[in-house]
Amino acid sequence: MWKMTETYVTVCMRRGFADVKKRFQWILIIAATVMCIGAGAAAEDEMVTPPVKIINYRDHIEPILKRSCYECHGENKQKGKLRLDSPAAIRSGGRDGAIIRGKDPLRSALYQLCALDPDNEDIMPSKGDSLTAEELLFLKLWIEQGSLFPDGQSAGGVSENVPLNELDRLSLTLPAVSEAEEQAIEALRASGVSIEMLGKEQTLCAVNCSHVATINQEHLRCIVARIVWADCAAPVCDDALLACFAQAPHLRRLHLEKSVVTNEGFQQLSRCLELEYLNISETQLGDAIVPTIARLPALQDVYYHDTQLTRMGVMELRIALHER
Amino acid sequence: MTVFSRRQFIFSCASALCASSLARLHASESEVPDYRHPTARNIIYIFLSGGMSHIDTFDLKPNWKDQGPVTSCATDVDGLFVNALLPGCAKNMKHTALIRSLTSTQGAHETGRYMMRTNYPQRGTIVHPSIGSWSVYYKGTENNHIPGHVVIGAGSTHPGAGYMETKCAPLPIGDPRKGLQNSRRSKTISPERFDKRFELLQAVNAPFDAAYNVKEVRAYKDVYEEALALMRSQDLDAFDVNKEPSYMHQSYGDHTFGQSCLLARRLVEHDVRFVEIELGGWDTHLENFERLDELLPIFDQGYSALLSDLEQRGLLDETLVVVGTEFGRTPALTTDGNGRGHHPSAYSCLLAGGGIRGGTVYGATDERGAEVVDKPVRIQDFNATIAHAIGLPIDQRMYAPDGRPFTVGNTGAPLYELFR
Repeated sequence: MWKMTETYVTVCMRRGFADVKKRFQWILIIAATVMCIGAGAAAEDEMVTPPVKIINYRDHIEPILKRSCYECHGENKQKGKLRLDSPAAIRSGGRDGAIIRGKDPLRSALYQLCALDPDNEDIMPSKGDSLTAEELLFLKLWIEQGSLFPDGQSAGGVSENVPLNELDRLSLTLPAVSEAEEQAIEALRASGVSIEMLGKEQTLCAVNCSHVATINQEHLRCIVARIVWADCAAPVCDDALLACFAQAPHLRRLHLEKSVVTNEGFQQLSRCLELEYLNISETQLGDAIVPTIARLPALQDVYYHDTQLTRMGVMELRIALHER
Repeated sequence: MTVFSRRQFIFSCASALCASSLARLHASESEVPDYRHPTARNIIYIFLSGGMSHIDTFDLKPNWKDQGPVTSCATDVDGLFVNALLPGCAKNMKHTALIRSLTSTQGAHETGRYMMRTNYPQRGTIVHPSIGSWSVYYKGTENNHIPGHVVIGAGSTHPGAGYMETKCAPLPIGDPRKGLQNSRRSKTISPERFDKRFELLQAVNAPFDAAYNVKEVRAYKDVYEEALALMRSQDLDAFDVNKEPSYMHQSYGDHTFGQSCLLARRLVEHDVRFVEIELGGWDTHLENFERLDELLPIFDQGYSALLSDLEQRGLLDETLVVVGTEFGRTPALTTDGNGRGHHPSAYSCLLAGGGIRGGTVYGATDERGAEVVDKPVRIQDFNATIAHAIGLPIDQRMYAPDGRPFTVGNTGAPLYELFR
């Protein structure tokens, strides 16, 4: 361990980190203490920032690439259609696509392939010595820090930032799931209701109760503010259950296929102002529901095959939805 | 030993050196938020086994000398042309994202199929799970009475659940018209008697199950219990395409592939999350054009009937339909002038419905269709896109029984641009 540390200090100094030396003096003291109390075995998955702060392409990365990679990925040869001898070439990647993905070394082939086990057939460089631990660390940090080139451009691309969708944004506005809600969700799941948490903050849920015989409506009411998508495509869904879902302020999609909801019960849905999708196929619902549907401001799609809707009712429905 | 042993060594050295507060600070920064926003609930994956010729189907090159006797037709997307034998696909391009820049290094059928299905290169030491099994692993089954992963018409080389437990394994269906065979209780045994027999079986097994609580023993138990749940379930009808009216059979086509698509739609209606359909015969080394004349109408009818039917039922928004194949075929015709060889470096696949921005063409190949010239998509990226669509945590590590870490995305980056 001491040997390793010494090498590390030497490397850092050789590479011009004068301040590192000072820093190391007291780090070494701490290290000695730590080892005395036997905490040398650190948690394996706990990754630690080493003393080097900012990795610079010219000083740290280019020399590694020059020594270990240019021979096969340079001017003379372009194995795998990959060149590593210029920032532009690194950015454009090789036959297998980008070699740097976001700020994630583990998904970036440039780091990942070099960090493989030495006896793995895919390891890079495929000829000559593997990269040293220090070199790997530099590569890793460089990618984590955004793989910047001297011109300030990154190699990681922008597609890595998962775009937020509407549900993600909505999920930000709701409080975290409370303990009581957690219990309700567990109880519902135990009874066979499928509940999937959605959105960036995982504060929304999709509920599928089409495969259960009975549903504990009290539990359902407990989480009703979080329901954005409900599947009650089964005879288990009656007016009473619909009353429950009708209280969901953010309900977007509602499946009522094969349900036994009545025309009167359906009117409760007039409160679902965010409802965008409604499927009432194979139900006994008829023209009486058209005024209720027509007043739902966000509704875009209605599916209605095998219902009691007459041609007249469908036409009214179309006009109502079309006028939006 | 894991692949990161060397790194772990230096990190544990470094951890010992640096103050622990520093470590925590960094750990909190590097945590990848594990959130999911699915754009689809279900997946129907149509696997064209053998290697569909991209240049004769979705990536036509009319000015290329070896294009052969292929006529093109306009689609419902401006400026996009496909083979005239695919009129149904042409009408549904508004729901479809066409990826023309898939590129892989797997030029043999088995390894190519394996990689498409599991997202990992085939190795002798382990069998990786297919994407459908990843889906069941993370999301469970929505309908507890029937399996969440069904594979129709695939051969025995399908990787299935790989190293995962049997409950993630696909239920194989051979002939869609026959549905799930041997799944009903024999008429000669009353339900009471059957239950009594099962109780006896359980009583005999219980001590063994308790003494050997390992994966293989649990697998037997899971299979029994799932089979019984299925046998008693109302949802057994989901497997019976004969319950469909005859006009439905006609619109999907009176061939195994069409009926498989119809079965897939029924299964999705019963909340089976992942259905894979295999359509073979695309390995057109000989008589490429004659074979495509037979295959394309079959594929086109089943696939376009499936999209239209899902759309009419309000399910297309929630169901991602994937058309995948293991590789493309050589733009140059073989010496006898009528066949095409394996060509993994550029090929086409489709994604439709399920939150996909329809009418998209992603990536491009050169003037011969030989090499990708724009936006290359690796198999890993393609599968990560599918995993993203059903909301799987792409980067979350799962450890195989031998301790090796795997992720469903395997370094792939989802093509977010393809989603609405």
